[in-house]
Order: sequence, then structure tokens, then C-alpha cells
Amino acid sequence: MVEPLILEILDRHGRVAQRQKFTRFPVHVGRDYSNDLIVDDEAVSARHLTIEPGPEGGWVVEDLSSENGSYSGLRQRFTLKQIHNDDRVRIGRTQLQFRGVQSAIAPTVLQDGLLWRVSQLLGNVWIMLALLALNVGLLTWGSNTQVFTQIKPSDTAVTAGTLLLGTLLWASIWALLARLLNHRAVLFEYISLGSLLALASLLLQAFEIRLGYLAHDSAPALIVSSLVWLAVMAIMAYLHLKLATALSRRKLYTLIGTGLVVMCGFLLLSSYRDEHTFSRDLPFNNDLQLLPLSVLKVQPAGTFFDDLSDVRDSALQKGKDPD
Amino acid sequence: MSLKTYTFVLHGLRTHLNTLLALFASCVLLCGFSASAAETALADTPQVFRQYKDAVVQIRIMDKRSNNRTALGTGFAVDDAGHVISNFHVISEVVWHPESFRAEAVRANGSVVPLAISGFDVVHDLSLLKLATPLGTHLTLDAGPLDKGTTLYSFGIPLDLDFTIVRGLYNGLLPKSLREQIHFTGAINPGMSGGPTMTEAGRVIGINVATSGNDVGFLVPARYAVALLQQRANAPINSAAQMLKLMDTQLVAEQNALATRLLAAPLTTDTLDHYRTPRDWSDFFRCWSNEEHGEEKRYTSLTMVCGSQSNIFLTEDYETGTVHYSRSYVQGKGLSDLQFAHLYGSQLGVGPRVPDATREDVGNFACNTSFVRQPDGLPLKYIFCLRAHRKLPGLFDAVIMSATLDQTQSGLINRLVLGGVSYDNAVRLGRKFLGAVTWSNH
Repeated sequence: MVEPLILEILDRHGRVAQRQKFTRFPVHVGRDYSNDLIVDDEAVSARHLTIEPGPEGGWVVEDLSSENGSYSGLRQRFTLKQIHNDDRVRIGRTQLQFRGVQSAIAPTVLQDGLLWRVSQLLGNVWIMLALLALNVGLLTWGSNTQVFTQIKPSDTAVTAGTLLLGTLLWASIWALLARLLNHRAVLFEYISLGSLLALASLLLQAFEIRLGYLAHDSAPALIVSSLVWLAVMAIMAYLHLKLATALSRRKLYTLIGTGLVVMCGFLLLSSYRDEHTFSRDLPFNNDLQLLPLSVLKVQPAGTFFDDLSDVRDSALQKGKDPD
Repeated sequence: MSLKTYTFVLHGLRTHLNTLLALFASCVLLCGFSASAAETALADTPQVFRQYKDAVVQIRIMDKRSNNRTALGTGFAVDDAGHVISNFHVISEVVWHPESFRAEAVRANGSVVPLAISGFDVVHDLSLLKLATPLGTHLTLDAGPLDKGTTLYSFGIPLDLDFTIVRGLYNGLLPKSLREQIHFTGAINPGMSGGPTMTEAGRVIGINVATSGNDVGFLVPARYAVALLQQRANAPINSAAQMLKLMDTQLVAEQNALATRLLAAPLTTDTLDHYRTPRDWSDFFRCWSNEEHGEEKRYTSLTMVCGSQSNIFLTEDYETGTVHYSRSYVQGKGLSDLQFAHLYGSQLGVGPRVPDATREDVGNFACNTSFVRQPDGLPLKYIFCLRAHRKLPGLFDAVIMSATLDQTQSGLINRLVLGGVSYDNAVRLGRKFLGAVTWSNH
């Protein structure tokens, strides 16, 4: 009993373009129509090579004096060669992948996994469109609230257009990466992800302001929102990389963890720098969004001045000798 | 050559929100250089000059390492023991860095005599120096009253030119000023700082201190020099620590006196739509108003700034003793509530002008904010910020602010800035100032 041969023709990205199973030998490979495997590549000869079962398993490939030759590895030209399971042979611009029935396959992807579900959700065209509209709409509206002149439709159009193009560009770059590295078509997923990222930054900003209101102080609000921001960044980075690359979960964690550590280090360094830099600025939260005051802690005005010794002590601390 | 042009706190005629120090008469302390006008000597002036010029000296501040001059001023002998009066700002380098600078006097005949510091009055910008060898002649200080229009003679070495006499007129004490000064109508110029201004009889009634140009000059009344001479220490002050201790004592006493004065003075209010807000506090504040319109007139900002117009000079870029307060009434016209909230917050964030100081002088600000309700129910955001003076223990610069929160299309911001006050006084004055922001119909 001769072992069946499965020949895979790979495209330029390594993706299987054509797959054929052979049980009768010799197998003729070439460009003309008398071959068993017809290869549509101008650099391949009409009758290029033949394949026979090997004496000790595997197969023996013989080049039929083709013009451009047959190669194993990158540049090893051969006329007769013993080939094993999962080896590759290049003829012209075409890669031939040799598979036997025992060749290993990747484990089945579980359809109830979180990533699968997230990917399905984000790839849904309606969800993608809704997120994109929300992103462009909310961010355009948000930037309009910071303008104190009459808002013209043309200004709004420019802002919205920039956001739309930016999101699409972002998604295209990642989708291209995913296509190259992971052979997946995930443009919609990345449009959704990019929109989510922009929305997250808007929501985080609003969150920080609300927190600053509640804490009466920008410093703790900044710390808490920085932590939330780092967490959101980590999740976003994970989803972006997981979709685009074939990196293992462990490698992804290491990569994102390293990124977060570097970012935290940067934040700590910049806060250290601020603390040791002379400034005439008043470090207070000047945000005056008019929330209903009932949700906030409001104290009688008279008691505010009863004890401000914490400000005095903090000022004294900052006033210690600079060296 | 050191050019000490220094702007006094005579704040803007047209005030600007974030730069209180604007266009109002800017005075120049007199130990630098600027353009000078020649004064034609009149018939009796040569006699006055001949008689008193020997009691006047040029004061030079020398850098010890390069043995070169870094500042120039004038001084005059007030007794036979060798005591000389000048300005604090003339010798301030020696006070802050006695290890790097020294003072010396140059007599009219060109001879040089070393000087030591016997004392100073930093609040009134006076210093008391001691000559290593007395001049042999001196002038008499006279704190007595004079009639407006009395002819006076001012001595000094303007622009390092030569010993000079300037004829001018006495125009009384400045009314409505926080720290007393005499208004002298005469051309006093940079380099004449610390020089005597006297009557024809040679009685010194004031010490040259500042000018705002065009013959508008300012003198420190002689009675502060008399007091300084009486309180002098027996031994000269040599160490930086002694100097700082003396300065701190004087500044702490001064801000206590100022706070007492402000706490006792009634703080009047006026009405802005439905708010009552501080207006006049004490007669030494001068106030200016301005109205700004935003782009396309979608908001207006009505501001008022009141300043005490008097600083205490510590170094060229370090001042204290400042008090000023301001308000901004911001109204949106057809802005959305969120747009107004952003506008209002950004106006609050601009903050007032804080006293000049460098990193060596003060630390960074620390702040506390809170949402409060006045007794009448008006909701506000309160902000209280302090920074400590590094070398003057017990003194802080304070910025105290409030912003009303009851309207969605208008808001009133009030700000009080106190330079060089104690924590207790900052709290007391802040409580009084912000307590005056209320609803008008209550």
C-alpha cells in the first residue's frame, strides 16, 4: 500500500491556494495540461518534475531538466531529492508543500471562546457601523463643546471627516498586518476596535472629570483614571495584537506587560520631574461642568476655612530646600 | 553694569486678567540707568551743593571674586560715628549673599571707604551702613511737616555720571498708599537711589527711592530713617543667617499689621445681576474695570482688578507684600451649557498674577478645593492655594478663589492674592473676602 500524497500549492503569503490528493504514482507536475498537477506559473516548465514514492517512505522528486530548476530550502537546486512529510519544494514562483495523511494539524478553535465571540461581535457589519458612527458623532460633538464661537457645519464636517479617515486608516494598517502575519481578513473588526479605542479615550476623559469633581482634587482622580487608562490600553493592545499576529498568549502577555511597565515608568518619571520643577501654576482642578450639586459633597462655606493645615503642610513640604 | 529697572506695583490702567501688572505708571528704582534730563541750576543751588556734597557718597556693590561693581547707588552720612543711610535695594545683594558681595563708599574727592551693614528696614526700603572711617560731616534728618510747594534739593550720582544736585518741589505724602511715600516733583534718576532730598537749610526730609519718569519721583519719609538709626544694632551684621532673621522679623510684623488693617476695614460689595461681590476694601486699593468680548460676541467677561500698588523689594525678581483682588463675571450668549462650562472653567484656570519669585525663593503651590454653600444657599467652588517662602519661615504666598455654580450661562469668579502672609492671616483674610460673595436678593 502506497502512502497517499497531498500536495498544497501556496500563494505568496504562504496561504494554501490549491490542494490535491494523489494515490497513483508517478505524479507529473508542470504547466501543460497533460500533468497530474497543473501549476499556473509562467516560471514553471511545461513538464517540470515527477514524484515517486521513496524506497524508505516519503517521496523522491526528480527534476525533468526544467529551465528554471527545482529548489529545496531557499537556494538548493536539485535534480533528484528525497522528500519527507511537511517539506517544501519551490518551482518558479510557486511553493509546493508535501503532506502525508499523518501530517499534524492545528487544534480546533472553540467557538465559545471569549476572543472568538469578541471577534464575531466586532466583525458584525452592523455593530461595526454603529461603533464607527458613535465614535465620529460623539467625538465631533465633544470637540464642539470646547469651542466658544458659532459652530459652522463646515467645521463639524472637517472634524467628522478627520475622525472618519483616521479611524479607517488605523483599521487598514492593522488589517493589512493581520493579513500578512495571520492570513485573516479582519478589517471590520479593526474598524470596530479603533472606534472603541477613540470612545474609550472620550469616556476616560469624562470619567476623570467626574472623579475630580467627587474627589475635590485632581491628583487622586488623575491616579485612578491613569490606572483605568492603563487597563483599557492593555485590553486594547491584547485584542489588536491577538487579531493581527499568531503570537501565543504567553508571548502577548509578556509583550503587553513590558509595554505597561515602560508606560508606568514614564508616568512616574514625569510626575517626579513635575514635582521637582519650579512652577508658578496653581495645581487645582478648574473644571466647572455644572453637575447637579446634590450628587456632590457640599460643605457649609464657613467650615472650609476651619482647617486648611494640610495645604500649609504640603506647601511647606514643597518649600523645603530644592537641593 | 547693572541695570536695575524695576516695576513698582502700580497696576494697569487698563487691566488685563492674567497680567495685573500692565500699563499703569511703572516706577524705576534708581540704581540703574535710563535717560536723564539736564536740570538748569538756579542762583541759590550752587551754595546748597557746595555746603552738603561732602556728606554724600556713591555706594558701590562689588563682586568679591572679580572685584568689579555689580550695583550702584547713593548714600549720606547721618552722624559723626560714620553711619550712612541708603536704600535696601541698593545693598540687597550683600544682604542675600554676603559671601559673594561687599559694599564700599566713594567720596566726592574720589577716596574709597569700606562699608558694613548695621541694619535695614526692608519694608520701607532703607538700609543703615557704617563707614570704616567717618566722613567728618553729616546731614540732619527732619521728620517735621512741610508745605506743599517747598523747594527741595535732591543729591545723588545719576547714571554713574558725577555728584549731582537736582532742584524740585515737595508735593506731600502720597494719599491712599499702603506704605507711606513722599511725592517729589523733580528729576531723580537711576543711580540716585538712597540719596538725600533736603530743604535749603540742609534738613533731609526724604530718601530717593523710585521714579515713574517725567519729574514724578518718590521719597521714603525721613522718620523711617530716624527710627532705623535709633533701633540699630551695636555690632554690624555679617552673616546671611542674621540678615535673613532680621528680614523675616520685619516682614512678619508688616504682614500682621496689614492683616489687622484689612480685617478691621469694611469690605463693601456691589451688585452684579443676582450676585453681591466685593468692591472696595481699603483706600489704598486702586481698582480698574475692563470688559472683554469673546469672538463673535458669544460671551462677555466683565473684570475688575484692585491692587495695593506697593511691593516690598527683596531682590530684582523676588517681591513680597503684594495684595490684590479681582473678579470676572462671565456671561454666555447662545452657548450651549457644556460650551459655557468649558469657557467658565478655562477662565478660572487662567488664575491671577502671583508675586514675582524664583525657584530659590519659594516652593510650588499646593491647593485645596471644595464645593461649598454660603449661608444664603449660593453654591460655589472654593480654591485655596499656598506656597512657602523657602528662606523666610512663617511666610506664604496665598491665592484664594471662588466660582459660583448656580447658573448654567453665567458665573462669577473672585480671586484674592496675598504676597508674604502667615497661614493664619491667609485663612482669616480669605474667609472675609470669599464670605462677601452672596446672592443679591437675600
